[in-house]
Amino acid sequence: MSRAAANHGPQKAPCAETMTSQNISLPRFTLRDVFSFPVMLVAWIVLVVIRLAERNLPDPDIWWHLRNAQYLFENYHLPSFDTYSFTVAGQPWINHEWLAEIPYYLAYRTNGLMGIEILMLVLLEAIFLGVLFLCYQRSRHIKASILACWIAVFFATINFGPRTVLFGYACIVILLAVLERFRTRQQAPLWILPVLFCLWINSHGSWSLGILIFGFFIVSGFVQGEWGRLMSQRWTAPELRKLLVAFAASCAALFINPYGYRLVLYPLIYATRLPLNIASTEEWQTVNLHALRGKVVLVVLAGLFCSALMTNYRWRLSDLGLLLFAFYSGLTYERFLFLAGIIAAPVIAEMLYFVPPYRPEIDKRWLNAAIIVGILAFVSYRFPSPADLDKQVAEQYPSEILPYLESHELAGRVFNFYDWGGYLEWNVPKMKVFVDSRVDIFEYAGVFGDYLKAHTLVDAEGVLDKYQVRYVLFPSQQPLTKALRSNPDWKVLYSGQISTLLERQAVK
Amino acid sequence: MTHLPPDDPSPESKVASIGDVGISKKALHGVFSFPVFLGAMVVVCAVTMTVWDHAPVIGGKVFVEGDTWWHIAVGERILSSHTWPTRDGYSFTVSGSPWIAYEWLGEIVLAFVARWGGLPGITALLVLLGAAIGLLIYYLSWLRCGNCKAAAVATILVLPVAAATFTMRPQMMGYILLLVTLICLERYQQGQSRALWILPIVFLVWVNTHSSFSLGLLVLGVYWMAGLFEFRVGFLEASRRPAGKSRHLLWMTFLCLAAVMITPYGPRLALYPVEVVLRQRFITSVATEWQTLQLSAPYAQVFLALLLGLFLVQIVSPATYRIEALALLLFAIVETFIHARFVMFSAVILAPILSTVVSKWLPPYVRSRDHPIVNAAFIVVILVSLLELFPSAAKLQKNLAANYPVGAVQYLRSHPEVGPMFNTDSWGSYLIWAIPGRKVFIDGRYDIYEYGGVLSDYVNLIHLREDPDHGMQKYGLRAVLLSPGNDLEKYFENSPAWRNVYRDSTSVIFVLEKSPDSGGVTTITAPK
Repeated sequence: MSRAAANHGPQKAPCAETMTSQNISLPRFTLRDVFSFPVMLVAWIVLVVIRLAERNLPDPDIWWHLRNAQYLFENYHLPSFDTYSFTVAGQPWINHEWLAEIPYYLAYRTNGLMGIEILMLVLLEAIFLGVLFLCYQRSRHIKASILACWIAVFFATINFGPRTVLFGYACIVILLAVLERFRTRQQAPLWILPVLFCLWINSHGSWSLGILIFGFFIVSGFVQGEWGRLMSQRWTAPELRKLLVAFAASCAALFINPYGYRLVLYPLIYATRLPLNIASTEEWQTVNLHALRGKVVLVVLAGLFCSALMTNYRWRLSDLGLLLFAFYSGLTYERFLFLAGIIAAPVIAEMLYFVPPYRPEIDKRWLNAAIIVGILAFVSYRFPSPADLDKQVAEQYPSEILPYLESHELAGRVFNFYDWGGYLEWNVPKMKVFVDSRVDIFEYAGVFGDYLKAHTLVDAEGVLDKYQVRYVLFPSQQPLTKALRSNPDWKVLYSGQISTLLERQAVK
Repeated sequence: MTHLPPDDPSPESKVASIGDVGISKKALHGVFSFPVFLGAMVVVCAVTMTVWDHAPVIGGKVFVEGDTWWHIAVGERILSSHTWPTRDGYSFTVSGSPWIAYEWLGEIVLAFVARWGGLPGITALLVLLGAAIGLLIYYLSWLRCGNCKAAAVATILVLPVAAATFTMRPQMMGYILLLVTLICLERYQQGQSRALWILPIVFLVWVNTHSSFSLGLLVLGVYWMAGLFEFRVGFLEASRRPAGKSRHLLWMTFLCLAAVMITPYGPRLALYPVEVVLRQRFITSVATEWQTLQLSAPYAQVFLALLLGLFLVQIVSPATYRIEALALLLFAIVETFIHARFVMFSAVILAPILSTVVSKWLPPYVRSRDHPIVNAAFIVVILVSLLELFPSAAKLQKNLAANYPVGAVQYLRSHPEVGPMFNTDSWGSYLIWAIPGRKVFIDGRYDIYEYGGVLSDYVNLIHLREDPDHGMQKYGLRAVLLSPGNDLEKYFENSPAWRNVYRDSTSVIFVLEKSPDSGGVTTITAPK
């Protein structure tokens, strides 16, 4: 049994677009195909991704990413210690995502917030078109691939935003595409992988997931056999040699970074030394199954279980292992749902063999063309304007207080809202913040723990005294703001719809 | 068909082998058999997870549930007045509003045990109920798979999940009745139609004990529906029952439906689950047990691992599922993920399925190879260790003081002049029980507080979403009982209008500041 055919269940129905040979290259598109039914469905995916992502611009991290990149462009070297806060000033810090920050900074310099918005959307669309490619690569069934890609889109909404992790997920898609090509054709451009991992480690910590995927892919080919509907095929010696060389080169490439082994160890440190961050950050929480995304996850899980009962789909060991890992991670920590979507989509596409195949001969191209044009028109019409983007930011960040901060020198330390740290660093560079969403450096120093104590009013007074805080800049509706407002030791300097600035009457 | 799980492949031979030895040895074989030993193991696991503070997954369960206290208080009131309450008499916020004791039978049991045995009695009841649930899961699994070893393994695997809900509430009795229903249906499925006759009585008790009887009706409906189809798709099968047998189940279901109307409140109690779904939206959005399953919790990790393991096993070594088992499993899993309180239902449904899977790898029990004396020795050791695990009265009192405002209650008893007081929900329940006659702001009876609009005000207050002074004025509050470190506690500590009059490591009381001549409160600090 060839590797390409090995995973296809015996009930698999023949598809019109299924290729009989092991040639898995994508079909060649002609002008006529531009207005085909599959292209129209892809246009829907593009539209939905834009609609789901366009309101996610104000991510708390993007501001300090911009500030980091700005520092790099101005000083031509990476920071090795903190310069943005007064709480951990001068302490060692690794900018572990420096490479991914550069495109966002350049986009901002080119076109302001609109530049960031466009870059984010382009990245997301590229990822999902990549996922669609993965699905088609596996299933040879365009309609099933598009359905599976929809699932991946819903899973991924947790990480929609101008985030460096998008580069990481793009790398995962590329990695999976190369590995799948190698599995089916016994040859693939494995030389890409060391380059990929070199770029990846400098862009985002998710490279560790890539190494895990790559490693499990290799290890699953150490055994051969069939266990029920689970199967694995052993690598031939040349295959294994190629894979091991590529893996070793990829591991070596990880050390090509400005911080050496420290950047390689970073994911391990993140997972073990940041318990407060993991316990208190929303994306590290369990999937909220009351939300639509959570319900989609449940439906998919139930569907997979039913398919295990009712179909003869035969699983590859690598698929099953990665899928179990991805779902376990995704359910436990919601941020990994993006990964679960990417891993699950190709398998789901393959399982959806019963979906009627695409039949070009009955396609109504004029109707597809009309819908595609309609989608393009809708995207153009509803695409957020620069003013919309400014409004999005103003709804979540204290932009209203910026003129006040420009005109008034705050002669003392400021205790700021966690999500606003990066925004203040970017917009008020002279202000040293208490905390920002880099988290790591603040948690190591115990500052993040103190922040939480103050934020949740467990010991606000003690924390504000400890750091000799004179000003508090917090959302107007937060309990801390209300508590300080009622405290005679504090007076309100500025009060807006979003933010309130309070000053202590006498610093202890 | 056999009444007993078909574990031993040759029951006749073993009867012959021991028949001439005498009744006493036969009885010894029965009482100290290996399945009984496994049952004892299940009991020790269930009890460990119920009472032991250092249990590997869940411990110290006796006092985690605030509702225990108001359930006892309501049961006590029914026992003493011989009437069923129809209006609230415990709070000053919704005083006199219509309210029914929808778990009155369970509450009477709790009150009777509390009256008879105090804290140790309540703890003993919790332990007994936990052990009974463990044993019933074990028996149900044994019936399903016919392999007592696999049943014990499956039960012990799901116990960490089930034990998450082992708290002293009438729902524990509801779970037992659910298991009894499932056992009856399993026996019916195996040809024992007479097993169904007990169900109307079960439902009569159940509807008066806990609203989970609705799950029982769902189970009955699913079993009946499943018997209408005949198919096999992959590893999923349904077999149509003979018309007479199916009709029998249908009639029993109707009788059960009739039985749930027999309550002191008429059909209102039977319709209460509908009321929960339609009228208690806010409760389901704020109550922890109605929230999404938090997979960071150890019991939820076990649950997820079991599900992923089941999925893996289904691929590696497929088992055939009956349609009703799959339908109930999917319903249970989805409900559990969305509403964590259904985790017990999942455990009950999951255990027999797991036992069927595990039974493939475990040889069946053979009685002729059993060693009753060895079993007896182990059972005795287990029983002795159970006694050791049981918490002492002093430890129970210490646990109570660590979780509830025992010192503050003493203060309030000696200062009856303290006016309407704000309290948290679980402590409200404790106050109802500890200071009969003192009206509370809120307690665990969320339904009546949601209808009265108090619950949303309470949530806003406790999370400082609105000005606390405004809330205090709205309800004419003169005092506040909180735990130290609470958000609100910091607020009142900083507020000049409020004065701290009591503080210990568990609780703190503030009163609205009065002029020195009109006051009657004095500041005290609990001895360290």
